[in-house]
Amino acid sequence: MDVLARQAADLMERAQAEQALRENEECLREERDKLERSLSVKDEFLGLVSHELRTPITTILGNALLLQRRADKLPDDSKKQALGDVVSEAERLQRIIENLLLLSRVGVDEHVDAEPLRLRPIISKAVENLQRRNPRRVVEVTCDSEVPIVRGQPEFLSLVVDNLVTNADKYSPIEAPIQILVHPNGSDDVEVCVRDYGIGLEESDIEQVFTPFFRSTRAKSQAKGLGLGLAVCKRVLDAQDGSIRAIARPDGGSDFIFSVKRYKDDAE
Amino acid sequence: MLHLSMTSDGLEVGTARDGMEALEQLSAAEYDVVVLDLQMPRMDGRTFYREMISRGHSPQVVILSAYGAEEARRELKVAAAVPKPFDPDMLIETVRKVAAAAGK
Repeated sequence: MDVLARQAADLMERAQAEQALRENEECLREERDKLERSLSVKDEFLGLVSHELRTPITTILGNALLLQRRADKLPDDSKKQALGDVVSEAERLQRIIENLLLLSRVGVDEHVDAEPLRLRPIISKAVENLQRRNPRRVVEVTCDSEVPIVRGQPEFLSLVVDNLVTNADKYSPIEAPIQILVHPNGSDDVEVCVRDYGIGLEESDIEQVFTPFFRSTRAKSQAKGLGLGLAVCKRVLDAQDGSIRAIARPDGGSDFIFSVKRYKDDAE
Repeated sequence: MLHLSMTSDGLEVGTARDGMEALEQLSAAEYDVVVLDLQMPRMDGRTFYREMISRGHSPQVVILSAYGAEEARRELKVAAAVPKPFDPDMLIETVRKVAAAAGK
């Protein structure tokens, strides 16, 4: 009997050990899959960042070397084109760097100092910048003449408007205008809507478009980008008691509407 | 920039903005070397390469990429890879070498 009991105990112990081993193996498999997934995300992210940073450098360096070595052999229009490409890619790189720096500078839930400012000159400057880069693009600005002074950080609000019109330009056909509508909203806010007639948004993407590095499938197929612009808009608007939302219009295209606080003098 | 660098160096060059356009160009004319960027809209470099091979085109390929150019060269078993950023003259030299090695 003792022998039988011992054998039964051994068998049970062995079964338990095998079960534990199986569970360990399962755990290891899950960990390995998780690691592989995160490595693949890291790889994709590094690929994207490398592409977005190195491609403009390639164009700038390549054109600069071309002009340095062969300017005397190139026709004037080619030289002009090469210089134009240097400028536009340097500006693109600058926008990427500004957005990256801003995302690391302004944390989530952080507040920044705001000052009284007028929106109209900020919008005009962003439109001017866009039309210098893309002279064929029509931008219509409808600004209520009574737009009140708002509270904000000029550098940050400039980046917001610049990002939104740059996106509208990137994701809509050249013959479609970009519209910017500015109007007071109630007694506390001023709203700015940047409207395009481009690729539009999937309803399922609306919440995610403000997440850093998110790019919708439609956006990826249309143009290159890091997925930083809208995340930066949200981050800096949140930091100034503002807000931003996206709307997929049924007739196609998108509205990106941001809101900032009216400036109210303490003496009022 | 590449187009200008190559043509000013005496090469005959066609350009395409993405893989789809490149496939159309390959159907219309014969090319000795394809300089292939891995990241393109609509159809990326790897998909283009596989589609090109399945359609029976066999030009020499030089991969251009900001990330993982050499790995892609090994994966696709193509002639050369040039990481971005690069000196255009170095790329032209690579294209000429690759074409010469293939007897073009």
